[in-house]
Amino acid sequence: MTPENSNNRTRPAWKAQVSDHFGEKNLSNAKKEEFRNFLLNSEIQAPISVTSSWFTSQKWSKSLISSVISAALAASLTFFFVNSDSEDSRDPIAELTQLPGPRIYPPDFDLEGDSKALQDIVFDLFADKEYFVSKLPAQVLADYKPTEGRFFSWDGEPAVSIKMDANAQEKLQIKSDPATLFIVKLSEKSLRKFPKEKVTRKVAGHSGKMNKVKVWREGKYGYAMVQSIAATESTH
Amino acid sequence: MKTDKQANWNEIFVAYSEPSWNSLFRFSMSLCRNHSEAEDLMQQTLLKALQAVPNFFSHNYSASTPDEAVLAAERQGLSELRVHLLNWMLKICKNTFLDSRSAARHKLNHLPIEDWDESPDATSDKTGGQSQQPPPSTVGPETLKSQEDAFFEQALDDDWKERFEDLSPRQRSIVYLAAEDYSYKEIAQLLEIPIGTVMSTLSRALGKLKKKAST
Repeated sequence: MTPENSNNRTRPAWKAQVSDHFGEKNLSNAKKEEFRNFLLNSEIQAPISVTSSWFTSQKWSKSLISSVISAALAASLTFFFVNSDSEDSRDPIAELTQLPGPRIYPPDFDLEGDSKALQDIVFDLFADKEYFVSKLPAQVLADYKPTEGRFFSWDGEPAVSIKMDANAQEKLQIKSDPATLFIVKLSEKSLRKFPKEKVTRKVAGHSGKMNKVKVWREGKYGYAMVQSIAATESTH
Repeated sequence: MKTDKQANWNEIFVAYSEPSWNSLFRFSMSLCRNHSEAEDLMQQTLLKALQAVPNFFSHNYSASTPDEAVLAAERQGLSELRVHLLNWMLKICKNTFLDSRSAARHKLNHLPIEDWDESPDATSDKTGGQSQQPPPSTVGPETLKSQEDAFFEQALDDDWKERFEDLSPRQRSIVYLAAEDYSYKEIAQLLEIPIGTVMSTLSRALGKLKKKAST
C-alpha cells in the first residue's frame, strides 16, 4: 500500500493524530523558492568520461596516457601482490573477536522473556531462511539464554551479534561467563578460513584480555561464540 | 557553466520532486525534531538526490538522457513515479541523517548525542520500564494490531506530542511512516532494517506512549 491510497475510515486514531500533527509542518513558500533556485543552479557532477576529441586535441596526450597506463599497471600489480598477501594472512576469526557486539552499542532487538524468538528475528536477516531453521545451534541455546542482539554488516555480508547469558537453570550447575554469539554469512574469502567442525581457539583482545572462541561453519554461515577467559583459566 | 543537458536534469528533478517536498520535510522533522535542522537535512538530501537523479532514472527506468526520463515518466504514470522518487529520497534522507550523526559524534570526540535507535530513557526502559509490555521480539502482527487497538481506545491525551519528542529518531520516524500508512514491509525497505525490527520498534514506541498516557 502506498501513502496515497490509504483508507482513512479504518485508520486507528493515533495514526490520524500523528499524521495531522505532521501535516501542520510545511515548508514555507520562501524556503521552497530557495530550494528551487538552489537546485536549478546546482551543477550535476557528470561522470568522468573521455571523448575521442579530447584525445586528438591534446598534443601531450600520448605521453600522458602512456604514463597513466604504466602507473596504473604498476599500481595494479602492487595491489595484487599486497592484497593477495594480506588475504592469505587475514584472520577473520580473530577479527570477529574484536567486534564490539551488542554489549557496547544499543541493541536492535531484545529477547527478554522469549529467547525462542531469536529464530524469528534472525530469519529477517538471511535470505535462505529454510536452511537457517535447521541449523540454529540448539546446543548453544541449551546452555545459554540469548538476551539481545544487533544487526551489522561484516565483510560485506549481513551478520548478527547476540548477547548470550549463561542459563540460570543449567542442570549441571557449571557457572559460565556471558558470551557473544556472532552469526555471519561468509563471503567467498572468509569461507576458506572457517573450520567446518567446531574448534576452540584463544585470541587476544584489544585490552590484552584473552578470549575463548568456539568457531564452526554450517554451509555458508559462520558461527563464533566469543567468551572472555577468566584469569585463572588464561594462565594455563 | 551549465550545459543544456545539466539544466534539463535539474528541471526534471525539481518538477518531479517538488510535489513531495512537504512529505520529505515532515520525515526530516521526524528525525530531527528541530525545524532549522530539518531544513538543513532536507537541503543536503535534495542536493544528494539531484546528483544521483541520472542514476535513479538509468537504474530504474533505463533512461540515460533527460528526454528518455520524461518519456519514462509518462509511461510509468506521474503519480507512481513521484511515490517512487519520494521513497528514494526518504532513504537518502535517513542515510544523510545517520552520516551527519556519525560525523558529529566523531567531531565531538564521542560526546553523547542523540542516537538513531536510543531514546533518552532507554536505560530506564531496560531496568524495568518494559515490565508491563510484552518483549518486542515476541510481537507479531496480530499482537501489534491488538496493541494499536488498545492505543486507539485509550486515545491520546494533550501531552502526547511531548512524549513523542522523547522517542528516539528511529522510533519517531517509524511512527511517522506508519501513521502515513506505509506498511511494515515498506518501512523496513525504506529504513533498511529487518521487518521484525520495525514491528518491535513500533510496538515499543506505542507502548511508551500508552504507558505514559496511563500514568
